[in-house]
Amino acid sequence: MIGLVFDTEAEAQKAIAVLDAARGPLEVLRDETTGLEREVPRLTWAQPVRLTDGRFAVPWESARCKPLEGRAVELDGKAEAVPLERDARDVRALLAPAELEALEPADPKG
Amino acid sequence: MRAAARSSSAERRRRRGFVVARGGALGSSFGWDFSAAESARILPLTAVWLSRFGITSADGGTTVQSWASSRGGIACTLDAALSVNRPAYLPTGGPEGVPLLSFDGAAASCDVLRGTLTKGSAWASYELGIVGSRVAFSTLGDTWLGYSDPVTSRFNLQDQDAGRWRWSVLAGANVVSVGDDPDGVLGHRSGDAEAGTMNARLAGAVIATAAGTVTSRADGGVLYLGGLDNGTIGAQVDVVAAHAGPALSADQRIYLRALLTFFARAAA
Repeated sequence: MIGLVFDTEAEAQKAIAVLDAARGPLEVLRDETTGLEREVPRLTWAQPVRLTDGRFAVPWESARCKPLEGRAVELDGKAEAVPLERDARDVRALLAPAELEALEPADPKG
Repeated sequence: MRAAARSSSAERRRRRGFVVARGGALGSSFGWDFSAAESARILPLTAVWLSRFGITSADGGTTVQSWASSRGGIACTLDAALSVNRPAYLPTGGPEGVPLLSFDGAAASCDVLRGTLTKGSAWASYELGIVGSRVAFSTLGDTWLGYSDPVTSRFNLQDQDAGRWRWSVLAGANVVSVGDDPDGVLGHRSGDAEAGTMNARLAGAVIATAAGTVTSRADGGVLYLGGLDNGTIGAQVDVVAAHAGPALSADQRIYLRALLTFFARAAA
């Protein structure tokens, strides 16, 4: 897993909010059977992950995030920019056992 | 004489619980009506998802936010919890141009759709399956489709290795597919578990069987497609259709296979 690392959960949440803002606050869902469309608040794309050193990581999904990197957005009246992919790093060594197990689980059957 | 023979055949089908098409309902060559109402009658306790039906797309039609059951008697909707969990939607990307859902199997937050499956009583038997193909093998145990009760994984269709897949039952035996089943080959892979036996099926036919302890489970568990419901252990699979529910009778299985084949192959 690669992620952006922040000292506090609030900073991680802000990074997610910036990414969400870059993707737009609303999105259109379309019923492919009927063709009807409706506008809904965009789902948050990720949640912060607590690291063993007390910091927090925001998972970076390259396919979804790289097209947005560096994009300027306005958040709470302030100008912000989407982080860059080059600032994401491999955080597997900093994941708690439970988080690591979720990424590389044992056979669910046991 | 010939008309009498047709009538007799239709009567036999009617007695077996099948619906005889009137004038080739839905253009079916199977002689059955695959309407939602008739499917719910014949498959009263089986939720069935069919690509291009029940799909709610997002991201400009490129991903799937939810997939609602469009046939069978159990209503169920599978949703992506986060936008990052949405599988890709390819309206004409499947075999012969049919739509498909493509799951990425990403390690950190995979594409996965999940929903609660409720039939009103405990589950003494299971049957889950997909029509689709594996894109690539990644790790033993990566989940294609599974059911939890409600948080413990109970019954899963998983990767086995590059050429095989398996059914895994908690506290039961694993059933490994038999024979070569390379990536990229469209097929109907399913499995069922009941009492002391579980089967792996290809196109409805049993290809492997194992003994195991398959105990009754509480109702209302979570069904997940593309990975475990927490967004991990995902598999790279392309799905044209899927189904889940209690184990089926022989006649119901024949109907379900025809239903899936019809909608998977029907022109978009």
